[in-house]
Amino acid sequence: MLFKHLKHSMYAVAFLAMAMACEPEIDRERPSYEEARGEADFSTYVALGNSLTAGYANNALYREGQLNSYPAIIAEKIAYITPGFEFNQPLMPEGNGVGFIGGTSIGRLELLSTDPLQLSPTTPSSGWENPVQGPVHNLGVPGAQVSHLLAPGFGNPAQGPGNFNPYYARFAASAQSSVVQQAISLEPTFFTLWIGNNDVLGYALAGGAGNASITPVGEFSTYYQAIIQALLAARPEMEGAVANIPDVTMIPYVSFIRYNQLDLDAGQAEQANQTYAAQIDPQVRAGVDSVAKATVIRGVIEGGTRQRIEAEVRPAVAAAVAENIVYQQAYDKAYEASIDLGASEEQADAIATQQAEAYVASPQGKEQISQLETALLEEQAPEEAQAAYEGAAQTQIETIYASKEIQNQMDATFEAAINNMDELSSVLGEQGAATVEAVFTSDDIVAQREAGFNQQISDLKAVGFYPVFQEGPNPFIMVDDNPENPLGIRQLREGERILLSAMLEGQLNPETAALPKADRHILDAAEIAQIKTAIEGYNQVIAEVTSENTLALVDVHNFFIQFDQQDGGYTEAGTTFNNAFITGNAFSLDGVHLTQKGYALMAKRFIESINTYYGSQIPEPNIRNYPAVGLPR
Amino acid sequence: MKKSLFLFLAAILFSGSLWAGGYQVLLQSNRSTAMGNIGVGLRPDPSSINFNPGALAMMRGNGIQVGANLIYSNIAYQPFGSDQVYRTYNPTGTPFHLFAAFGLEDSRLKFGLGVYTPYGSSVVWEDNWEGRFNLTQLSLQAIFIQPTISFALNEKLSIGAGFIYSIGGVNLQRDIDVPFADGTYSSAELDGQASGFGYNLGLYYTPSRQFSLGINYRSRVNMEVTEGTASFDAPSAAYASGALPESTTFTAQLPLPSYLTIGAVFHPTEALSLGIDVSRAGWSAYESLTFNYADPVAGHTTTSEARNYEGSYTYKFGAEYLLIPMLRIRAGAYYDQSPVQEGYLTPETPDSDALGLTAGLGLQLGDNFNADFSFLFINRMQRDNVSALENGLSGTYKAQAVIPGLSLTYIF
Repeated sequence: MLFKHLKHSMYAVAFLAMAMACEPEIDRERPSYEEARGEADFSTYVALGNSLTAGYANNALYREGQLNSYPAIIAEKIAYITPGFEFNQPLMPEGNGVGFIGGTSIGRLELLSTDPLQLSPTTPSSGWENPVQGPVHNLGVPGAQVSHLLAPGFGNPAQGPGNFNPYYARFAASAQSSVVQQAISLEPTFFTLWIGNNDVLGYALAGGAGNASITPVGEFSTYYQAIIQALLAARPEMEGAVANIPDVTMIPYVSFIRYNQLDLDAGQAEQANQTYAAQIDPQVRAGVDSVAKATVIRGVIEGGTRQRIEAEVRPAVAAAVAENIVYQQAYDKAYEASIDLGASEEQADAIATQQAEAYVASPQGKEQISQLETALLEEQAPEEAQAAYEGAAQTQIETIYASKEIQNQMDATFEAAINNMDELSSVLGEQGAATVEAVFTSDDIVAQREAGFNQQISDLKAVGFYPVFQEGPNPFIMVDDNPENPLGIRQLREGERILLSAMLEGQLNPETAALPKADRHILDAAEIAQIKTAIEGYNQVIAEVTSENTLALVDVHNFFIQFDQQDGGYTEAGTTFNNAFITGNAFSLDGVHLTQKGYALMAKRFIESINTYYGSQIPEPNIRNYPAVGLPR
Repeated sequence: MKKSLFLFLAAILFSGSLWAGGYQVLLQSNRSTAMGNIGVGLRPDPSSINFNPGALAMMRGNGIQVGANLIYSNIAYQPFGSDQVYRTYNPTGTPFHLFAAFGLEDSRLKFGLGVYTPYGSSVVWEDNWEGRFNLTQLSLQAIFIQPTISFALNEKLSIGAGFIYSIGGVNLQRDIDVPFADGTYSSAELDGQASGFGYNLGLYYTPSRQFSLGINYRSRVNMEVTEGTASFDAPSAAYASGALPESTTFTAQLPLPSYLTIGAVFHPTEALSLGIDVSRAGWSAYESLTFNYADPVAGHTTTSEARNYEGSYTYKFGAEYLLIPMLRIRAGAYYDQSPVQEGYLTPETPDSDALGLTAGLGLQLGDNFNADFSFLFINRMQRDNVSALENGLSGTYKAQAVIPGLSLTYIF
C-alpha cells in the first residue's frame, strides 16, 4: 500500500537526499578593489627586510614560519581585496629549515622540556641551499643590516664563506644583484621595509663584548636614505609602509632574566657568602697588610737613618758649641777688666781676644770645654747653652737628612726592602728586620691593620664590588674590567641585563648561578645606554625619511614597549603578549624572533598603519589563527 | 609557566544556547510538524500532552503515539575579510516523542504521559576551524517526562496540566590556544548530566464545529548540572603551574525558556483545516551563562559570559486537507524570530531569524491506526556578527536544516 507508487517514492527519496546534501552557501558582498585600495595600489607588493621579514623563528628559517611571515599574512589579506594578486616567498624545503650557531648549520630549535628547560637544535632541511626558482616578493634576508640591502653580490657564494649571505644566495636574481635592485626589478607598486634591527642587535646579543659593534647613526642614515631613494627613484609612484626599530633590550634574550633574579635560600646564600669571603678576604687582608708593612719598613729606614745622622752630628756640634761658649766667657771677662782699667774699646777687644784664645788653648780651658761638651751631650748644661746646642744640632741634622743623597739612599733601601719582603734582614740587617717585625706585630699596628681591613671590606661592599648574598633574590655577579675595581667582579645593578646565553650555557644552574658572569653574558648600564641611543637615532632617521617621502610609518618601537612583562604585557584577542621567554606568546624559542602569533600581530599593525595612511580597507588577520610556542605534553 | 598564559580560558567554556532558539526542537508530532508546527488549537491526539494538555480531555478514546525525526543540519561560517568558509559536520539528530493518553469511558478526565525531546542539538565543526577556541563540538539533549491530567469542564471547554521532570546531558569540547610542541592544541571537555522541573498548562475551547482555540503555557525549566566533569588536555607545564587542573567538577544552570502559545484552527469544510499559532519564548531569562568550578581553571572558579537573549516570537501557519478517506495532505510554514541579539552570535548559537517550510501526509490505516509523515526545511537567514563578546567570532553565519519524520498513532 505504502509503496504502491514506487516511482514517486523514488523521486521523493532522491529529493530528500539532495536536500540533505545541500550545504548552506554564504553570499557576501565585498568592496571593489577601487574602493578598498584607497590611495595605494597593492597590485605588486614586495617586502624588504631582515630575518623578521623572512619569517625566521626558533633560530631558523623554516617553511612553516615562512608561510606565516608577516609579509605573507599581509599579502593574504591584500589578496582578499586585490584581484589577480600574487605573492611568492623563497620557501625552504619541508623540514626544520636552517639557522646557524657559530658557523654550524642547525634546524629550528625544539622545546623538549619546560622544567627543567631543555632546548634542542634539530637537523637542517636537506637541500636548503638549493636556489629558488621564479620571482620572489618576500625579500627578507636573515642577518641583513641596513647597508646590506644595497650591496651588490650580497648573495654571491663566489665571495667565499662568511663573505656572502647564504639565505640571499638562495633567491638572488644574479650573482651581482642587490636586494634593492631585485625589488625594483619586480616593478612593485607597494612595498614594506623593516630594516635596521641587526645594526644594533649583534652588539646586544654579544653583551657588547668582542668585535660586536653598533652601526653609527650617521652611517645608518646614509644607507637608509639611499635605500628609499633607490626605490623611489626607480618607482616614483610606489607607496609603502616602513617600520621602525624596537628596543632590542626588550627581547627575552636580553630582558627575560632580571638583574636580581639570583634566587637563593638561606643555606645557599650563606654558602655563597662564605665562598666569596674565602676568595676576597685574604686578598683584601694581604693588600691592607702589605701597605701596613711598607709603612713600617719606611718608618724603620727613616728612623735608622736619622739615628745614624744624629750619632755623627751631635758630638761635633757639642764640641764646637762648648768651645764657643768657653771662649766667649773668657773674652767677656777680659774685655770688662780692660775697660775697668781704662782701656779703649779697641784696646780691650785686642786684649780680650788674646786672653780668650790663650785660655781655650790652656789645660784649664780645655778641661772646661770638655766638661761643658759632656754636659751638653747629656742635656745637663745650663739652659741657654743647652738651647743653643739643640738648635744648632737640629739644623744640621735636618739639613743632612733632607739632602738628596740621604733621601736617595733611603728610597733605594726602601725599594730593596719592598722587593725582598721575605728577606728583610738582607736589606735592613738583622736588627732592622727585627724592628720591622716587632713594630708590624705590635698591638697598635695590629689594631690599625684590622681596622683598615674592616674599613676596606665595608667600602667594597658599599659599592657592590664585594657581593653580599641574602635569602631571596640577589643581583647576579659579573666580571668587571673597571680599573678602579680592585676585586675585578661586581654585583649587577638595577637596569643592567644578564643575557639568555648565560642560561642556555648552563651558567644559571643552582651550582653555577652565583658565580661571576663573563662580559659577553652581560649588558651593563653603559652598553644599554649606547644601544638605546643608537636606536633612538635610527628611529629619528626613519621617521624623517618616512615623512619626507610620504610613506606610512609603522611604529613598532612604541608598540613593543607594551610587551614589557613588568607592566603586564599587551593583550589582544584573549592572548597576552609579553617578553617572557617561551610563555610570553610574542617571542619564539630563540628569544629574539617572533612566534607566528607575534608575526600575525605585526602584520595586523602594518595593515592598520597602511589602512590609516592610505585610506585602504585591507582586512585584518585574526591572530588567534596563528600559534605561539608549542609546549611539551 | 605563567598563569596569565591561560587566562584567555576565562570566558565561556560552553554555551547551552542551542537548547532553544537555534535548533529548538519543535518536533513533537509529525502531524503538527507537517502543518507549520501549529498545535494548540488542533483537534486533540496523544501529542496534545505536549502541545496543549487542555485539549487532551477532548480526545476520543485512548491513544498511544510514537515518533521520531532525523535532523540533517549544516552550518557555514565565513570570517570577515577572508574567503575561507568553515562548515559543520553534524551527526544526524534523532529527537523522539512518545505519548500515551487514557481515560475511563464517559469520564471527563483524561490521563497522559509524555516523553519527548523539546531541546537538543549536535554540532561538530570541521577540524582546525577558526572558532576552535570557542567550540569544536557540542552535544546536548533534554528529555521531558510529563505526567498529565486533563479535564473537560463541559462539551466546549477543557483544561489540563502536566508536571515536567526533565533530564538531560551536555558534552562540550573546545580547543585552548596553547599549542603542543607537535602543533596540535590543548583542549577542554565539559560533560555533565542535568535535571530540572517545570509544568505545562493548557486550555482548549471549541465554540463550534468550525472553530477551535487553544492556549498553552509551558513553564521555564532550569536545568541544573550539579556535578559535571571538566577535563583538560594541556601541556604538563599548564598543570604544574596550577593554571589548569587535569580534571575538575563544575556546576551550571541552563534555563530552558517558558513557551506561551495561542492558536486557532478553522474548519471551513469537513475536509479542510486551517490553523495559526503564535508563540513567545521567554528567552530574556537567559542573561548569562555561568559555570562554577571546584578547582580554579585559569585562575578562576567562576566564569560567566553574557548572553542577553531577548524574548522571541514564532508565527506558524498550517493546513490539512482530507484528499481521500485514508489520506490527508498537509503543508505549512513558520517564521521564527531569533532570540540572539546583535553581537551575541556564538558557534553554539549561529542563530538568526528562520523560515520553516513544512509538508507531510497522514495515512489512516484501518480504524485505529494512522501514520504521519513530515518534512521540514529550515532556512536560517545569513547573518553577520560583529562580536560583542571578548574573543567572540566576527563573521557571517548561515545555517540550513532538513528534517524528515514519522509518527505512528494507535487509538483504542
